[in-house]
Amino acid sequence: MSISDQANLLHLKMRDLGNNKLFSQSELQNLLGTTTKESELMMYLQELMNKKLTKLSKQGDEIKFQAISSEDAAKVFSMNNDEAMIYEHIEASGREGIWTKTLKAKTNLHQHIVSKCLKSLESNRYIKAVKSVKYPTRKIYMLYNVQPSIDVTGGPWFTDSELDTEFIDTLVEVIWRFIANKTFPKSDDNNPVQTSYISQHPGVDLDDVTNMINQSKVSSIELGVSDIRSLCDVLIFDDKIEEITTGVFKATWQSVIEKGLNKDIKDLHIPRETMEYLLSNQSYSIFDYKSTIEDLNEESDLIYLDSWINE
Amino acid sequence: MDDVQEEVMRTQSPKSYLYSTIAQTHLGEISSIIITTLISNGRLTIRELNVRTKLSIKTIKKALVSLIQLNCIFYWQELNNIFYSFNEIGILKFLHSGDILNHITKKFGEEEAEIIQNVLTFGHIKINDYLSEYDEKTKIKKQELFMKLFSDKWIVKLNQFNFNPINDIWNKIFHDILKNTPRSSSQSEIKRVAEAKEKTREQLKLLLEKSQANIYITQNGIKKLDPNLIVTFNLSRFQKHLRTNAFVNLAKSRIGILTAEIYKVALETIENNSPDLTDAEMEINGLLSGPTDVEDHLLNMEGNLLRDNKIVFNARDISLKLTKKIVLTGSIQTGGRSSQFEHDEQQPSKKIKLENGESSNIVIEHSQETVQNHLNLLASGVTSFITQVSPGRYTVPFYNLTKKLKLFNFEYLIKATLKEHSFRVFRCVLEQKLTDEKSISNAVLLKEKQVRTEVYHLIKNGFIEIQEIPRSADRAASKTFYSFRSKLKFDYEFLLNCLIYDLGECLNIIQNFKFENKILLEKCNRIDVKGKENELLMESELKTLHSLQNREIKFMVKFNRIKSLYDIFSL
Repeated sequence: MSISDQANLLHLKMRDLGNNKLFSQSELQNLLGTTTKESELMMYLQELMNKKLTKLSKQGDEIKFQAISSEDAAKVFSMNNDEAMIYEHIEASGREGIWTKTLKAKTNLHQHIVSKCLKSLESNRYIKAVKSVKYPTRKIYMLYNVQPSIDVTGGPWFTDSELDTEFIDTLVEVIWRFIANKTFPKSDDNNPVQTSYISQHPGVDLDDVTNMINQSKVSSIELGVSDIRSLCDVLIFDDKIEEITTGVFKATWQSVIEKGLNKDIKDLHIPRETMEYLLSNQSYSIFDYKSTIEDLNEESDLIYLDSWINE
Repeated sequence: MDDVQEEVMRTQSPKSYLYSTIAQTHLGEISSIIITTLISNGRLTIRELNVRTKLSIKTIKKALVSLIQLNCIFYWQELNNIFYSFNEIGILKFLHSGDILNHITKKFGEEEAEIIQNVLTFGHIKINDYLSEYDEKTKIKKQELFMKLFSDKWIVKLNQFNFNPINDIWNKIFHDILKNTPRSSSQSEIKRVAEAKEKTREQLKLLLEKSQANIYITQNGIKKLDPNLIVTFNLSRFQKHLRTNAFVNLAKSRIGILTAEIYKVALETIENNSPDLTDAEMEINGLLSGPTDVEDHLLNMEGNLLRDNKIVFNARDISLKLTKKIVLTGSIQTGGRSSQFEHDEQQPSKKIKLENGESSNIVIEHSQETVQNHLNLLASGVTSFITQVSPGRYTVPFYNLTKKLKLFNFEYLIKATLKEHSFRVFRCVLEQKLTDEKSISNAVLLKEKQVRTEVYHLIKNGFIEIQEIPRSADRAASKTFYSFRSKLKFDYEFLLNCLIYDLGECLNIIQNFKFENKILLEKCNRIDVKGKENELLMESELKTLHSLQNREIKFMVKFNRIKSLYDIFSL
């Protein structure tokens, strides 16, 4: 792969200024010095283009040039024309990847040729196939060394493009326990009926939760604040925590009751008089649904909530 | 009741089903038929009732007298015709009667409950008639009890307009005023009608206010109730108690038992003066027709009461009224931030010497600062149970809290019936207002397939609505996009109907299995058998009787649980 010194110099200068930088013709002329003629510059560029060391792209109405690394150029140089064209399109798709059907439409090649090229590129480890969470049935290709974007992988909640509900449930539970522990004092040493923190008690900050999760190593990958925020949103939807001010949370008492972490009145160590008073003042409420016994004896005796509509 | 009438009662509306069933169990079949007919036809004359119910005029007249007395039917005279229409207040009193008596016994005592029971049984009573049964000494005592119940508004003066439909009263006043408002070329017709409406409103208000005048007499310098006064039970007062109860249960679930106890005392302090759940203006058709008219009206009512300091309380009121049976010590912790609150954790106590020479600690008063801390808990947080009007003085935001109360109960009903994931999805739909499956799935972190199942269950139960967004001109189903939303107002109405139907179903099932075992039950009610069932009944009969009793108890439990939800959604 021999090229003239001047062309080599131009390529080196282009690479020095940035891998992805686009150069206009005048900028390139400045790089080589004003003494270089336009026709000479064109010659060098043609030389580089022949060796696949630069590529052309259009920005607005202007034609621009981009330097390609020698390794990449060698890669493309070793490919046949069809492969190179496909490779170019895949490269242009970046972290999003490109669907085979789009590839076929863009290259205007026969399906058979596209498949053959893809196979060859894949076996050379130039490209890889990825599964998209958005479109699970599509075959999507991107460059071998490129990390797929969050849109494609679905973020940390997806394992092999499947929503990892077990992982999410574990994290949600850990976060809830952390917030609940900070929101409610232990009642054993204080008042067994109810022990609460004063109203001014600060809640738990989103950053605290993020630090706790990342330090506890519950997750193998580091989770960002936005990831933890979406887990907290799930907890809010579950009415397990409340957002008192933006990014500050407190656990709800109802969630503690539902977990069975509070004792039943009958099991509390309180004076008999207090117990009798509390028991006699209990009335049915839907919030106690966990502690009520379901009466499922005879089917004919069941009354359904929706019996009016299903009559 | 023939099969057709029974089917009509059951199918025309859940309310008709429940009310007719209650009428049937409490007042008999004829009353039930009349009530069903009036619910389906609006208002009828006796002759029309006779044609539609196929009952004789004499029977109808007899039934109407007692039904009117019990506030189950309104009457209205127009020219020479008297129209009868259904009044749900009487039936609602029957529905709540057990709870009313239970509450009065708990709050006042047996004797007061006896008075209320009599008032409920007869619909209304003249104080003098009731007192004439007793000797002079008891009379004075009973009079005091009447006074007590009256001043707490559990019983109120019965007025002529209690027997007439409020819409007819309004129409009559309105048409009289409109007739006397002359048309003029300088005034538009809309303005003339609006003016007449305003005048009618004032006159109606005057009529309702005047009704509570001339209630007391002063005898030997003692103010007492006029013995000629006819009193009836005030259902709206009991509904306020139901609201208190629901608020307290919510506080118990959101904060804790002790805070809820404090909240209960606060609510009871202002319960008597708290805003009514409904009032005459809200019941008049078309008067409050704007989208925010009802809300404005209720907020206005609340604002007026607040301005008159009728629904305001402070920590001191509560610490004095709070029962000494509960201990607040240690219920509020500072969380190690500062020790400024720690000194108040000591409950004031007093050492008294017992007869056996030992000394004992008794709690004399709850610490005001602890109570204050509990009030702060109620005032802070995402759900404000109380709001501070000025330092140390609080009020209850009845209207806004009722909205939250319904929402919490509704959501937890979904959780209890459709389980956790539906609850999560429903709350997400509420939060996102109008959303699609994909956004729900991203927000709740559930698989799309599961979200679809949950959404299906929610739609099937009428909790969320589906909106079709066509993406092609032919509205092809394959291309159409669906989004979901929830309209709480309709959700509540729908749920309330389901609950009312279930209440009717409970009573009907009890009635049916009692009817199936009519012979056995009649046998048990015979004077010679009563109390000697073990000796006179066969073993199999005893077994059936026992199972019948158990079944009835189970259904009554179900009935009361459903009713507690019904109470909340009818607020």
